[in-house]
Amino acid sequence: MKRFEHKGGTAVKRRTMVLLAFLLIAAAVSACGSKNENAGPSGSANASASGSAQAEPPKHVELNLMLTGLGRFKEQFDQYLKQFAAKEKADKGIDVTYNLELPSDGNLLKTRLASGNAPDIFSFHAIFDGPTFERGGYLPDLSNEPFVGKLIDTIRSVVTINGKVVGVPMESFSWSYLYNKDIFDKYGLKVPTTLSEMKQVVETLKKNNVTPFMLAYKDESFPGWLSQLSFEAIAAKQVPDWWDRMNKGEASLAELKDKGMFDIIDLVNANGTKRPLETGTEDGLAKFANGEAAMLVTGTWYADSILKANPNFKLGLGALPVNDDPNSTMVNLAVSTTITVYPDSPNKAVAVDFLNYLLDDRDSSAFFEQLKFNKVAKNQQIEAFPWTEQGNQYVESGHSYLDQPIPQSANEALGKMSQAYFAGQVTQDEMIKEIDKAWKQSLQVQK
Amino acid sequence: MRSSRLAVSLLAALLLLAAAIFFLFPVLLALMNSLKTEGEMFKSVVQWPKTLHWENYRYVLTEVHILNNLYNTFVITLLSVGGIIVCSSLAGYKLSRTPGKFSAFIFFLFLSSMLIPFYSIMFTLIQMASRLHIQGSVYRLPLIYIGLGVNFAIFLYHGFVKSIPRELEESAQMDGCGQLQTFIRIIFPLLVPITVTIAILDILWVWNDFMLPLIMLTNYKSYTLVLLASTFFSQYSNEWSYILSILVLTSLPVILIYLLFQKYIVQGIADGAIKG
Amino acid sequence: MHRTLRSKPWLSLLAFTAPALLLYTVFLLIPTIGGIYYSFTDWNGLFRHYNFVGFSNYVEAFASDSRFIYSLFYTLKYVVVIVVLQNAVGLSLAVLVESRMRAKSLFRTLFFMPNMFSVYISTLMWSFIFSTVLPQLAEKTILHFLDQPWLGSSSMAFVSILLVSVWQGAGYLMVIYIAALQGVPRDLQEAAIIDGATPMRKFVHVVLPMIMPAITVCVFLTLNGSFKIFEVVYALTGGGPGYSTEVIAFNIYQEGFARDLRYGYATAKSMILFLIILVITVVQVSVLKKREVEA
Repeated sequence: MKRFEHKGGTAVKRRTMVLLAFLLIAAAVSACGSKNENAGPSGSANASASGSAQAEPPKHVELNLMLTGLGRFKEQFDQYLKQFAAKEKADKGIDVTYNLELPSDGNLLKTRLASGNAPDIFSFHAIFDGPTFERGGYLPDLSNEPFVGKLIDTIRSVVTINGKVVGVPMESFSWSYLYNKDIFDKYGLKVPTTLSEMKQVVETLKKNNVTPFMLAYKDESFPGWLSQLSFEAIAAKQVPDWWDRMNKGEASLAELKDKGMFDIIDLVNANGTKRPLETGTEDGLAKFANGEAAMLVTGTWYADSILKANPNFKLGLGALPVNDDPNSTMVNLAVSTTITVYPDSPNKAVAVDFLNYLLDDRDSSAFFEQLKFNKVAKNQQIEAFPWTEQGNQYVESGHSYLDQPIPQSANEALGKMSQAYFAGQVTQDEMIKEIDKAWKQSLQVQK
Repeated sequence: MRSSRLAVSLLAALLLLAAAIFFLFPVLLALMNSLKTEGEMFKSVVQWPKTLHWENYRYVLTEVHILNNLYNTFVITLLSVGGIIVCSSLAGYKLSRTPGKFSAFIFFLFLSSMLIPFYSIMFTLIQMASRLHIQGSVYRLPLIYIGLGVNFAIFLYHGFVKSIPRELEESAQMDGCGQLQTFIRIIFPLLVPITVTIAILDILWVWNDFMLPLIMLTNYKSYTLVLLASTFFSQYSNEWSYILSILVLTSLPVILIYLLFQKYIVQGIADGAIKG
Repeated sequence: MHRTLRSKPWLSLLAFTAPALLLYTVFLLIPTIGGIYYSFTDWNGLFRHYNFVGFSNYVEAFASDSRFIYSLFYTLKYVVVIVVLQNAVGLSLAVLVESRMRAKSLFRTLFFMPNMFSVYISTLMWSFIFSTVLPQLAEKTILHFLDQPWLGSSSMAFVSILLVSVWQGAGYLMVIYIAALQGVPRDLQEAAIIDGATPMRKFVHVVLPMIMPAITVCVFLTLNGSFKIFEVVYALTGGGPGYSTEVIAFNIYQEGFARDLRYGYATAKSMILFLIILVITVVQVSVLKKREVEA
């Protein structure tokens, strides 16, 4: 600041410096504050936090829950939480109240975790978020909890990271592609077990003026899933050490391309509905439900939407063939929504009780049925949907592989590049190069 | 000469008509198709509906609790714009009247941020809001809008105040009025024209904003109208008639206000631009 | 109390500016400074710990992020076209509306109306048109040229984005231009006509120079606003097909929310966006200021 000529010059200069200092300090404090945020969650202050870790159990606990993307199940969770509160009161004499947040965007949870203001219980995607959250220290070790023993083995391994069980799996799927049973029956088609059989199915459909595949490529997830199903199946059967090497940065999708990854991709892309890049998800699902195409490459999590569009739809699940080896025709076994407890929650004990209650011997089955989720535990009696049954058959006959986590950037690149490949903007090699690059970059960032 | 004059005015009329169709097209279509059933829409999108199917609207109004979202949007807009006007008029007035480097520095501090795009501060703003427990609250979100909106408003007030003679304040103070009283009783009423401009611009901004509510309002109960429309998009598979009806309903309040007050609105915007 | 305030002007200045200053500092200034700080780190918005990485984010953005470079050029292409297009349309509309005897305010109301809609909402309306209406029209009427992959090919998607942007923004500019046109003295225009000027020449040589201040303002507004375009792309194409319609703001959003959550890196890129806007705006304002004609 220059010196001033008019009266009160030094005084003004001093004031300015004070103001500047105030602003700079405020900035510094907020910037430093985020770095040194301690692990103690300040947000759960509304619980009777003081008495939680001591020998004397709290009489009243308020649980903060954040379940992303489960807004459509608000009533069901409300109900279940009430049941839990009643049980906890009866068993342990603790009054439980809860505060349920159901954001649609996953970023809120991430911000709260980062700022130390984490909810007691939260949901996350086992495959997408699991590894990252684990690295950030945000997942607990629940391996010794009663519910773990109840889980079906394959499902348990999906929620096990670094040897620890990190949460209660809720949504699980065996998925590959969906098909319209009525159309298949009408033309006497059987679910193909090899690529050649699939080509025959496509031919029969085309001869009868039925579009084989519904392509809803406006959302890049759809073309991404097609590519993903293809290369994961090839890797699982033919290049078993591919994932390990890829996650060390020593492999490439080109190896899988050489083993025929693009065969099924090209087949589907060439025999699909018109204007796919302008067909959004909802559009595509509704059109599929109304019989505009015979098959749709997507997951069973859309079953609900499809049946809502057409309650009489007969939904079938088929495994996508990638070559002429019937053993390579498999379904992908995945777990998405997983519920867990924040490791440093002051109400950890009660929260863990809730997690165990999610797989309660008595009440869990009814709950899962309300949510239309598939069975994850051996003690659950849930009537499986026809397509879930088909999925189970594939799994039981050894025609399945576990979904592996793809780094986020690579996943985004996979979707976008598959979309661009379909649109003719990139060649196979360019697409692979871009995905490889994003994968390597993700690995770099994770160090 | 006459015929070419006629040709020119004919051409002008044609261009105007074409432009009118272009501008009216989306709105009309949204309106028309929101009153059709899904099947009718499939048959033809451009035909007028045979009967007006108000069920879509009835459904949206009753099942979707759209009035709740209307309330949210209204509260957020009112508090934000009110706050901006109060804070900025005070600050802009004082900065304009106070000479010296200190005052100029503060004024510059406000102005310097006018070019900053929202994306440059978005991520750190999220952190700040989370720390201050602003996320998820309809009543605290206006604080952010005020923080973001004062710079431009102060700029406008600062310029406008120059046209108010100082004698008014001097005579008020000689009558024994304090600074604040002088401002409230004498100065602020004179600021009404520019206040109207600022109010219009800011109401438009806050009511229709999408990004900030998207990242700050996490509980669907606290969603604004615009956010509600975006959830409809993912919830109602392909049911354009529902989606369109909610798009229409979302825009209705602002359009009504526009049709009623458009003279002032348009004038306000023109003035703001010319004087800014 | 009153005497104290009067004798120490700086105190009353602080008192009057305090509310605005406080909220501004907390929600704009500090996040900006915080943003600048984080742009030098590798913070990912999720973990508690991060490292200071100096300028490497900035270097990476230019040296190895081909998607970002693409979005820079794509946004630049969009900006150049839209500034010209929107101002041309806005000015033309203003001239057309002003030249009418009757129904002036009807047309003015109509053309300004798009501004009342939320950008997001009106873009959704347009996506309905592109995906459902136009293809149907193309099928059922003679207007076959409407059968384009409006959102399906990157070249057509560019056109679609332009169309929506012009629809949304031209009315605003029109209003400013109308006010400016009304400020052109009648006698000057009549003198030109008497001198035998055609309407075109009259416009270029008499009217245009007189509305230069308005042109400066409008170009400034469009330049500033178009660089930040986001919601139209978000709602219309989602950056697709592939990456082909990714504008800078969308690229930054994806980087921070959809990929590896590299908040630090994304913030660095948004700082670059800010610097670009700053430079271009400053240059443009000073160039056009020189061309203004005093009435």
